[in-house]
Amino acid sequence: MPAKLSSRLPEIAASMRPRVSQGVKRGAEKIADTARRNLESNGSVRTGDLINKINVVNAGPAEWKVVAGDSTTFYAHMVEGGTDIAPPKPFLIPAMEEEQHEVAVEVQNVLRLL
Amino acid sequence: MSTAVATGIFQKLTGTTAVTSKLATAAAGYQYAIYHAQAPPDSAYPYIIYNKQSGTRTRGMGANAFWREIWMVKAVDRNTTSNRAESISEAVSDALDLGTITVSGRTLADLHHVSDVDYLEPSGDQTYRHHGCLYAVVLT
Repeated sequence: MPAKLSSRLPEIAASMRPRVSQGVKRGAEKIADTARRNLESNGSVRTGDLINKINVVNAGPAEWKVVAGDSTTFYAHMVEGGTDIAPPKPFLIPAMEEEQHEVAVEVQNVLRLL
Repeated sequence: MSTAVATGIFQKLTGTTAVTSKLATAAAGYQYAIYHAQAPPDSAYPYIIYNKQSGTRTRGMGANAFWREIWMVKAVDRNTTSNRAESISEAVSDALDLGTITVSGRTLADLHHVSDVDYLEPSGDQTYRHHGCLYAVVLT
C-alpha cells in the first residue's frame, strides 16, 4: 500500500509575507499610539491637527511607515527637533525606541500561527 | 543618566577645536555657543543645540543591563545656504560617531550615529537651517 507524503511548505511560504506584514502593521500601530500619547504628555497638542494626522501607511510588501503630518500639517519635524525659538519636544523617536521590541514580538506572534 | 550624558557630550564638543572654531560668539553668560535644548534669546548664529530625544533601559538577570539614550546634536544657522551648519554637523560627527565621552557613574559601551537631522525652518523672510544627527549613547 503506497504512502503519499505532501509538503505544506508552499502553503506556508505563500502565507508568510501577508502574516509578517500583518505583524509589522500591528507594531507600527503601537508606535503610532505611543507617539500620540507622547504628544499629549509633552504638551504639544494645541489645535489637534498633528495628533490627528499620525497614521500608519503601507510602504511596500511587509513594510509600514508611521507618518506624522501631511502637506498642510507640515511641522511635525519642528516639534520633534525644535525651532529657533522652541526646544525639541520629541514624540516619534521615543515611540519608536520604546516600541521596537514590540514590533518584533508582533511578528513572532503571527509567525507562530503558521 | 541624562545629566551625566549631557555633561559628557558638552565636554567632548567644547574640547574639540574643529567644532568650537566654527561657532559664533557665545551668548552672555555662556563660554561656547553650545546650548542644551534651546538657545538663549538673541544668540548669534551659528550655534549648536544638543538634546536628549529618548531613553530606554534593557533589563537582564533581574537588573538594568544597559541604558540606551538617543541624543540630537544639531547646528542651527540663519543663512541663505546650509554650508556652515552642515560643516559644523560634520565636525560634530567626527567627534562623536564611534568616539568616546566620559559619563560619570557609568561605562560607555557604544556611541554611534543613528540618523541625520536636516530641515529648514522658514520664519518671515528668514530661513533657519537645522543640520545635525541623532546619536545613540549606550551605557552599562
